Amino acid sequence: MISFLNNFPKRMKSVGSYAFLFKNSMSKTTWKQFGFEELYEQINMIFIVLLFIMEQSLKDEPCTMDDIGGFIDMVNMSSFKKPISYEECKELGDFIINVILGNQGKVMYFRGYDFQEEEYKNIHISFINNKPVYIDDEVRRTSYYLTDDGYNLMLSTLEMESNMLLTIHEMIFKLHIEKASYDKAVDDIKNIFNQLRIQYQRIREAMRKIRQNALSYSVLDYKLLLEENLETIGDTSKKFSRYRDNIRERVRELEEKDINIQKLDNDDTKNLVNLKIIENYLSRAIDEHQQILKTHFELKSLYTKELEDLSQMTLIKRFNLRNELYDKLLENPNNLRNIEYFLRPLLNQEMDKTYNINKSVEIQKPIRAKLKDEDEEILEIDDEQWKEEQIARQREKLKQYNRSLMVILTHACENNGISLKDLKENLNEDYSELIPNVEIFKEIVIELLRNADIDIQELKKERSEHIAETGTLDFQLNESILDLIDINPDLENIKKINTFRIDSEEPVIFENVNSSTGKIKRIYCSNIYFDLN
Amino acid sequence: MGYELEEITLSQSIFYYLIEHRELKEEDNITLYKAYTENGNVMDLVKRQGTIAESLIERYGNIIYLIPDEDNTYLGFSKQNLKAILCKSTATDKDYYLSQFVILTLLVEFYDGQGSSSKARDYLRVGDLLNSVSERLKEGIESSDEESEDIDGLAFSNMLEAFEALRSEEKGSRARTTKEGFIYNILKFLQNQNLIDFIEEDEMIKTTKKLDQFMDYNLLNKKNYRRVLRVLGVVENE
Repeated sequence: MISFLNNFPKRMKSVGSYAFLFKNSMSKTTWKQFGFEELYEQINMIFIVLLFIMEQSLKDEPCTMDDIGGFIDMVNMSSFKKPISYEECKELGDFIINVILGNQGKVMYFRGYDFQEEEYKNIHISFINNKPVYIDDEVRRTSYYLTDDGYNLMLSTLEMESNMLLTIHEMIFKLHIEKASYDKAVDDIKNIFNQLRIQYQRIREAMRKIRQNALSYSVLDYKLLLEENLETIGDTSKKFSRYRDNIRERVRELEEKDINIQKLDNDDTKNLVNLKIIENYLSRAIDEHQQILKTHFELKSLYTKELEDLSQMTLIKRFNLRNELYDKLLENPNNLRNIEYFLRPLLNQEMDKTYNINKSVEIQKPIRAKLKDEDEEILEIDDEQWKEEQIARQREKLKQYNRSLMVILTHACENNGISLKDLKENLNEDYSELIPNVEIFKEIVIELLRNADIDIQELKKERSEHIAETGTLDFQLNESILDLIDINPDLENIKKINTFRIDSEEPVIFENVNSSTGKIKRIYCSNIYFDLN
Repeated sequence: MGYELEEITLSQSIFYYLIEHRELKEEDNITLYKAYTENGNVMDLVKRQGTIAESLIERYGNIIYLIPDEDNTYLGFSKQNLKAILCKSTATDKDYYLSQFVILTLLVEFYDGQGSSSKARDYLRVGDLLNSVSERLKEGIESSDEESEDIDGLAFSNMLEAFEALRSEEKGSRARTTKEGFIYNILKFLQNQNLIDFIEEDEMIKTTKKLDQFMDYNLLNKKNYRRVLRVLGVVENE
């Protein structure tokens, strides 16, 4: 056995990635429709799209066909200047994603020779995968993300082995810090942070694969991933904390200088800004590190559990659907007559309902209770649909909350603080946004009063420390405020929200306001002041 | 063999749960799930009840399923039920068989693998499915012999005609008189049955874990090969 051939299949996997990319792309005439005539132009474009997907994956943001099309359009406008429209850019994106990277959904195997077993082995290759996501909580879309192989391919374009990456970046980072070239150190720390992100997503992807089918996830992959995890987890946490302390020290030095001499020269100001960015990223890196540690254990228990489940089932012998059934069917269509016999185990029929005659002599309930009854009935008929409707209703309600809060914040922001009385006058009798119904408005005001002092910076910090998705559809004052500020640049200047009662004044009266039960009401509120200082 | 009253009650609760939901997930009702997986007697009782109800109770992964037997048209679909759901009200048998052919083609596209799982692709676009269906129908016309076509009119050429007669709309039409609408209706049905994820906006079809498991463990299981033989008419109704 020749020792330098030991890792041959592993090498073939890297090479196979490229081979598939080129094979799927070359001699496709579709490229020409979009004016990409030359091979190099095509390859450049593919990698640009891959990088975009990687960027989106790293940010944990959805990456739909629209995003990809928009991005291609942007790059094309600024750089390539091909005469193609936005729609065509989207088509090009679709072509790159589905035909070249996705192989039209078919699984890709590259055959690599294994010298230990003396035979060709199938090496599985996939660049991207997709999952359903909800955009703006409403539209269901397909979002694309990089798989493990995809990440490896992209990383290899920077000529580094994945498990060496972290240490190399760390080394460079240290060097830059020592040389006090902080602008470069910022890039390094971003890279380090990205590495951690990638590792975290790898684990999550592995967990998804295992959940889907534990058999398709090989023990070797599992071993590699665990080793990488351990390496990443290793002593990085301590190191990062040390770096952070170090950086904080430098920030403090510079800041003191700032106070003493009053004015820093330009370079130092820049350094200060860069150092703060570094500190921020280091903190996030430490968070990310915690996440990896957590998911590492989750992965372990999940894999064990799934394998246990599988082992309880003896390996099943299967026949081939195409050869044994489909092809024979194509020869004789009459066999279709019985086909439901084959499919029936897949399908479940709703049961007929039985009418209980006692229902007819039940005491009649008032209308509102009856409405509720009907809701329950829907649940019986179509559980899924009902749940979806409920979620949609919740979302609509949450939107009403946000719109109302938005009215308060915008007016407070414009006037640098506003009382409820003035707000009412500003609105000119149109309260439909501020008070969608009494209950919602009441809850918002009570929440604001209860929290009294809200510090936006504090909230942001808190949120960045808890990355975990909450995804709740109930109204959370803090969440809503942050969301609104994120979406609306006009509100960016809000630093604090301070809400208090103005006792001495007359109550504010809103006429003709809806309540959730459908009645028109008049409400009395004590006057309140929304202060932003 | 003697059973405890408690075991009998539990098994009855599990069976009723299954009748209601058709599957019992570990996370949805851990008490019942545990009772089934950890107590052999309970499992035995539930399975017996399943046999009486002409169905199979089987656990794949961490989900217990109630699978109607092939001949069970009460819990499962009879041809008439299925036709009413899949085709428009004026549909002929031709349309119905076409819908069955579409489902089967979908399955073949996804589960043509030979590895540890039969799954051979990650996703399928609606357009590809449409193309695949017409191609296969044409293939069918070529490979099926003349004789079999004539018996009483069930022929691929008829189905292809029916399929091609459906109008092809650029986008958006969901009427059952268009190709897209016809397929869309079938896909919606499969999604309601929790067999596929169908994302309209991107015309994306992905299979669910349930379908993967059913194909791997049940439909393509050599043990169930007799179903194929029966479909192919090799074994007449036993």
